[in-house]
Amino acid sequence: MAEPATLPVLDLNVLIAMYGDDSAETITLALSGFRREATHYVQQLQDVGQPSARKDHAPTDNVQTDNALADTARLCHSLKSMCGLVGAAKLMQLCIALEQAAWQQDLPTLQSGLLKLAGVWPETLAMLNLILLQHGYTDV
Amino acid sequence: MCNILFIDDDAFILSAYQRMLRGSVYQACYLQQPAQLWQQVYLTSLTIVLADQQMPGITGTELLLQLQHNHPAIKRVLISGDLTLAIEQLAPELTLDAALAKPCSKVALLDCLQRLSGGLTATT
Repeated sequence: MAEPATLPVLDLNVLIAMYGDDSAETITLALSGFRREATHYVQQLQDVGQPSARKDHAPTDNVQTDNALADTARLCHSLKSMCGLVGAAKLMQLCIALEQAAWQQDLPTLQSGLLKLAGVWPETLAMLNLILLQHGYTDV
Repeated sequence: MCNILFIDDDAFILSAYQRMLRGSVYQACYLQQPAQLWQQVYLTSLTIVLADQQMPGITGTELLLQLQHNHPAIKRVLISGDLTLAIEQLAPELTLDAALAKPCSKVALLDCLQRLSGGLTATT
């Protein structure tokens, strides 16, 4: 399995192969839709990873106290599929690791993955916006 | 009237299927709330239902099993991000006509629909 650092942030060839269409219309429709939906999923994952206001809580306490590991795994599972459709390889790889960690209740790995999300998501978002602009989509 | 139904709680995935079928011969409908399946007026006109496995409230396999009991003539396709696990966990009485890995490409989707439609040409 490739290390996330070596994976492309966004591989447009994957999107074109999945949709069977390389038109700017399809690319912008897919990427703008992905950006909208993925933002919602990432926000939920970031909420899971947020440290509690209480000082004695670790960053993953929200996961433990809310018994939300299964929900976290499901969020990652859905986001993984969405990433697979548009070629967001780096974020997809991270989702795979997060989903596995959540199902296995591996909190250190989950915490580490959620921290990585804080870097991978802005990188993905920046690339999405760049490609959308390159294809004539101005709402970035 | 649609004869193919996609069920997935994720709007983005449904919009992708819609885009993939654009210009094809298939008349598809899309449903985000699996529980609403039984209220759909087009239910009796359906020939194929494709359901995502992981949905809130009910799994794709549970929904397809209900469909098999209530409308056995409708062909059943499971779509899953973890197809191996989903197949392993299938209820023994559930019969699927096909299973697709999620995300599925336009090529895989059209191949599946063409096969289940008895060779109906995929594009107009």
